Amino acid sequence: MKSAKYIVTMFLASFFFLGTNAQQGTKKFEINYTVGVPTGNLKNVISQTSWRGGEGALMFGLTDQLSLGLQAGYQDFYQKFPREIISEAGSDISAVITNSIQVIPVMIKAKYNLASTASIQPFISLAAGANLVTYQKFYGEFVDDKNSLGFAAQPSAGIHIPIGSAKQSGFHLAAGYNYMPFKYNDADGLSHATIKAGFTINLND
Amino acid sequence: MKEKLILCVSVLSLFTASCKKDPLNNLTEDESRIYITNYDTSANFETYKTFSIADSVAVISNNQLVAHERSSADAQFIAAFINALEGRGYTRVNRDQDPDLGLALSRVTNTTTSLVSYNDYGGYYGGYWDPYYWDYPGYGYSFPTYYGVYESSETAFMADIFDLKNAEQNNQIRAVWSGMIRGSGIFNTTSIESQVAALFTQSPYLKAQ
Repeated sequence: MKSAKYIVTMFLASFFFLGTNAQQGTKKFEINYTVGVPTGNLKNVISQTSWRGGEGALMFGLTDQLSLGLQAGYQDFYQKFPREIISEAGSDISAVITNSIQVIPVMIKAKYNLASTASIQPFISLAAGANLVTYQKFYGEFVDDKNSLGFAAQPSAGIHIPIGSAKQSGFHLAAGYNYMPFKYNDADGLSHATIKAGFTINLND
Repeated sequence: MKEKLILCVSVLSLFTASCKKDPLNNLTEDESRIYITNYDTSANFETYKTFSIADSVAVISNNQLVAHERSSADAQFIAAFINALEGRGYTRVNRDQDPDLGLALSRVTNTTTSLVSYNDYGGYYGGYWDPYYWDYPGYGYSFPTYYGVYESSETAFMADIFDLKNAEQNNQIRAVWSGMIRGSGIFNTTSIESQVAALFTQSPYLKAQ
């Protein structure tokens, strides 16, 4: 109990640890490894967590706390189901069905740093833009596919841990939600939760 | 700054390009196959008692009958269908013994030729030759209009059961059941019996009693 209080105290105190890491006018590149966890209707098509994803964002510091930029991501969802028989009146098809969906959201992103001078900096962000979707449903080796361009939005929150003497680069950990409407076949929405870990590189050096 | 940005984008591009789990590379031959059966919903399969089967397989290429053949795989298919139908209570008879049902087997091959444009090469440089390889990082590719032709061919195996019992009355030979196998390794002799069994498993109505 005492150690828990100590950790909480140190965590809160870290927000007030002042440094010289002004953000205004900086250009940074964020690179993330992302994990996608299907939610909502996407779970009806693919319920398995995707461990194959990445994300990059080029961010410009407008103020010490607010930055704006362009983010592009990629997430690959895949699930193979045991052989099943699909029956309709007078017809039966037996197939191993594999669902494969890739999403590539390209979005404008705004990020707000809640404690830009602390050693652990909580932040929130909101991104919105276009989403390139590749949907493939394989019946055995035969595919029914569709490519489409749709909308995507991503609210997220996380922490940034600056490193180096200038504290302009660092590591971060975040969680978010990808809102991705999409309709084709059995798919009605590709929204999923995302967990991301990565680092920020200062491009001003 | 530019070098750092190019490095970051390159790392991200390479990572994501190698990130897709390809469904086709994760299928066994058995998983690649689909079995399609269709039947006449008005047919009562219990009213048929006997069947006859041709001793060879029709070879159909691009919708044209090319030949009748009997390879070792064909012979296995014929034997497997005989076993399956006999297992469902039907009796095999000769063609001249007025069979109730006639079973015909076919190998169907369709070849398609397609045209592909290479103009999109630049869009996929991450997967093939990154401009970085030529020591021109950040450059894009420019191509004149290049076209190539590729040909693909797929062979399926088909079985059709015809109603011979009522042919005169109907004034036609009516197909009452058809089965099709598509995918890889269809003519792999170790799996022919299980492939035919799969067609019959999804056709429980196909029985003499």
